[in-house]
Amino acid sequence: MEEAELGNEIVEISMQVNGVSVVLRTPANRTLLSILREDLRLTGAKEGCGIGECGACTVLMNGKAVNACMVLAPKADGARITTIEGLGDEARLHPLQEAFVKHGAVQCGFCTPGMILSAKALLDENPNPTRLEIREGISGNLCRCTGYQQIVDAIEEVAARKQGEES
Amino acid sequence: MSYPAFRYTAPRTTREVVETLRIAKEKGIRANVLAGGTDLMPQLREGTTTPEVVVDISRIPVLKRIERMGNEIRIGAMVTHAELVTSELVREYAGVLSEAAKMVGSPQIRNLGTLGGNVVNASPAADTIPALVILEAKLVLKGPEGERILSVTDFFTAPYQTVIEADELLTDIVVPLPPPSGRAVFLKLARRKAVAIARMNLACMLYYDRQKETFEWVRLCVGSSTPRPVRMTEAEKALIGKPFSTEVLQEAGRAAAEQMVQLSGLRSSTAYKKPVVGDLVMRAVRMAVEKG
Repeated sequence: MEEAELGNEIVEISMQVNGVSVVLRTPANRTLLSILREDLRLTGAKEGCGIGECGACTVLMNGKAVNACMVLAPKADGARITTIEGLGDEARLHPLQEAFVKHGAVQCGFCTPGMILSAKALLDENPNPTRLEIREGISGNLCRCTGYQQIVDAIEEVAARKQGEES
Repeated sequence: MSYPAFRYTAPRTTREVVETLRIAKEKGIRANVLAGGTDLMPQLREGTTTPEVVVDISRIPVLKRIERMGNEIRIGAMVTHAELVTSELVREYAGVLSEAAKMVGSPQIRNLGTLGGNVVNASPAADTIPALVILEAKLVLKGPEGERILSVTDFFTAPYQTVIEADELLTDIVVPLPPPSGRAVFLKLARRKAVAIARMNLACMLYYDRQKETFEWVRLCVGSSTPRPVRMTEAEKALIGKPFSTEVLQEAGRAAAEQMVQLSGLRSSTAYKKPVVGDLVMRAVRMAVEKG
């Protein structure tokens, strides 16, 4: 009885990843990022710093942007996870992906998946952000190539387009 | 990337958490409570914390509530910084806590990190702590013998050190409604705007009576500058009963700087922090008065 209350080293996790139900058994001492990359082979989310400072591992958990490197895997049990692979594919890009290509917002590409997911979380919550709000929305994502202007431009264009569709 | 193996449990009630912590303590097993993970996960990675048992408290609904109870707001320990920023209740009655939470980390970190975690981690640079100090918040700790409630200033003993026992869980942060006349300001200085640890932060709430032209009451707390969070009582005294003037503000700034040096001793950062704390106090007080 007492031992049971101290838990187990192996845990079962069931979650929705990009709309697909996934059930797996894994040691508890892993991150959501390592499950996504190593077990599910979704390598879009990157490990940069591993301590929540660079945002390269950003994914959406129940619609909110999080650093997958700081989510202990069993915490994702029951969650809906969206990675860059769930947004679009080469044949049919997500509007954010299209805009990033168009504006040259991708250089080395390492930050791009996380950057796009932060942008998606922002636009889902605030479809018409100001430039300042866009900068705040991506403030947890480092990019060492672009200087951010092209990224902000790309997000701004998608926001404007969305607004156009609504009116 | 994985860490040394540990056992994981995610109890559904605070009672079960306390029971698990009690058993672990009794058996001499290292147990860590996992809240949002934004402090614990980097510690696991760096190997500075090596639990044998991780107790995840994210599956306990009661720890996620924010509710008004009479003259208090009760905030569950698992309420995230993002929720503090958007909560109508917190914004209306404890706006300075919302402002402080907005300064934490990044959107991703605010979505994960929790108020309870920020308090228990007890970093001297934590953004929410100065806000809780001037709100005169109380903390509810649940242990095997029951609950104890203590003032937030009695909780911290030194940087990263608190009075919480190994078998206790912080369940709630209780904020008494501040007087409606109060005007509050939160300021943070850091190397950059996002994902930065505060070099210094400050929470201030005051009531300036424009008819009488005097400060009626003032609450000031400067973070990242004293070994444990305290009210800047000398600066408060320098303002109360005085008019809003440059001389009075300067005197308050000087008093705050002196109290900081008295509490922290002369450190390598003092040459920077002493003039800056004075300026920050002046700026915050001016901003609070200008709020009307």
